[in-house]
Amino acid sequence: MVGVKKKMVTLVSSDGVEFVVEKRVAEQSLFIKNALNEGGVEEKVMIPIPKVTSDTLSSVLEYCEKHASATEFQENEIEEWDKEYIEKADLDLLYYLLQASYSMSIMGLMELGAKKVASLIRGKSPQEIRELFNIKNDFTPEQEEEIRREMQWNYE
Amino acid sequence: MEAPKKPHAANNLANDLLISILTRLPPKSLCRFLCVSKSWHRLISDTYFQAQLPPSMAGLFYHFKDQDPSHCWRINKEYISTLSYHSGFIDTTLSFLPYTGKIQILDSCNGLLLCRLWGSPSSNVFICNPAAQSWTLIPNLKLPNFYSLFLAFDPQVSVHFTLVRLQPNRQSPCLELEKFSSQTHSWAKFQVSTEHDINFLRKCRGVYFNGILHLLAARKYIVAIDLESMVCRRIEMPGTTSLIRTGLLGKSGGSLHYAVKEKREMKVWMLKDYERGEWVSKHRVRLEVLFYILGFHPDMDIVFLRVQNILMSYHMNTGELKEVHTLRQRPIQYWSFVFSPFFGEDALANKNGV
Repeated sequence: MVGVKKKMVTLVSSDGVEFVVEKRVAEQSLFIKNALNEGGVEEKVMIPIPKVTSDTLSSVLEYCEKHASATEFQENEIEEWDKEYIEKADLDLLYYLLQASYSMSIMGLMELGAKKVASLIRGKSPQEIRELFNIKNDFTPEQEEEIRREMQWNYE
Repeated sequence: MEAPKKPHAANNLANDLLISILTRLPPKSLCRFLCVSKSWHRLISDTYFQAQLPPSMAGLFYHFKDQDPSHCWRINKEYISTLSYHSGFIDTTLSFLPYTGKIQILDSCNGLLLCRLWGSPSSNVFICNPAAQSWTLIPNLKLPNFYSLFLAFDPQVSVHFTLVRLQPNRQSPCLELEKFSSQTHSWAKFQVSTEHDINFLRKCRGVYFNGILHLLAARKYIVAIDLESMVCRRIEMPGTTSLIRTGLLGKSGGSLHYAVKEKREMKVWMLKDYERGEWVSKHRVRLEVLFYILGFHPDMDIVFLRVQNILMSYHMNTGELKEVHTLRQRPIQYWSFVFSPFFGEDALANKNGV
């Protein structure tokens, strides 16, 4: 339709950067969709996205943009796109994307990120997991030994 | 692969996120990760051995009427989350419904909502599930008065829901009850004897549990109708001097509760012995504000109140009054519905995206 003005909304990242995007793109996020509808009025177009930085938000919006027009593509085309998209994210961005998808309620992105992280960690040792997630081992050596024994009971 | 970095972001991954990662791992990996740390041990044990239970209450739907600039009455809907954490993927705007226009909620029961289109013919009544984003239209429904409609759904008993329409019979002490079941997909008519005349309050709210629909009747008692046997029983109300219309019936912790406002005092009663109809006084508090009772938390000892335009939760255990949400305005006419999400299987015909 020529001449029809697209509805736009402005999203503000936690570091104060404004992103002007089409409403249908922003509404890939259920958090935004709810915020827009609960506002009830058209004028509410500035939405702060707390805890999501501009770098992450721009990547999140790339995902939303693609998925907002998902009907225009073949299903495997979207799948391919998803794969490439998540493949090129480094570990830092991956965590940030996961957190953003969670706080912004973007189901598809959260699943995509969770799947990717799961595939990265499935073969790792407990020590590697601690390093990857920056977790402190708070078990005493005796406790750890006991858990390991139980594990062997189940899986040897 | 390069040595992994230590992103500080990973420190604060919410448990829900970790769970969604962990549930994608093979059992062998999960088992190995039990000794990563105490919190992982707890999380994996929980993930592994428990189903992911949905919260017993996610929030409240709140309706109010106001006038548009041309002084026409209109209805507004607001959803207020009562969870301290993220409520997940529940479409509380009901945008998955294929209807444009204002949707009015008439009843809420264990995750399902009974709705109608505001200002449209009465035939457009439907049931929906905001968590599953499913819905179904109720056929052959022509109603003069919507407030005699009640939704009955208990997923622990059946995936099917029952819709009940009630009308007092003017000639004899009985009720005209019409029942629609999603199992038979048809309406059936019954005459339920009540022994006494019954006057329901207009917009009376039903409380369904254990297969029984409970309604506040105007003369200081509850009418309990068993929707299978169609036997009707009366339960005397606890001793109270106030008019029943300031009170609210609800379900909390598996028992019937009744809260009533008397001036600035709130009294909460619990039906301790259901068979004998024995009430106990659960709580009494004098609140130094003008309040209205909105609902009970289905699990916890919390009553939701409105104070001016603020939605508050009153915690009976601690006596605390906490602010939940500021409503858009102080309404003249309003309704609220406690919402408990249900993610399991329901019998609603239309699933979003299918």
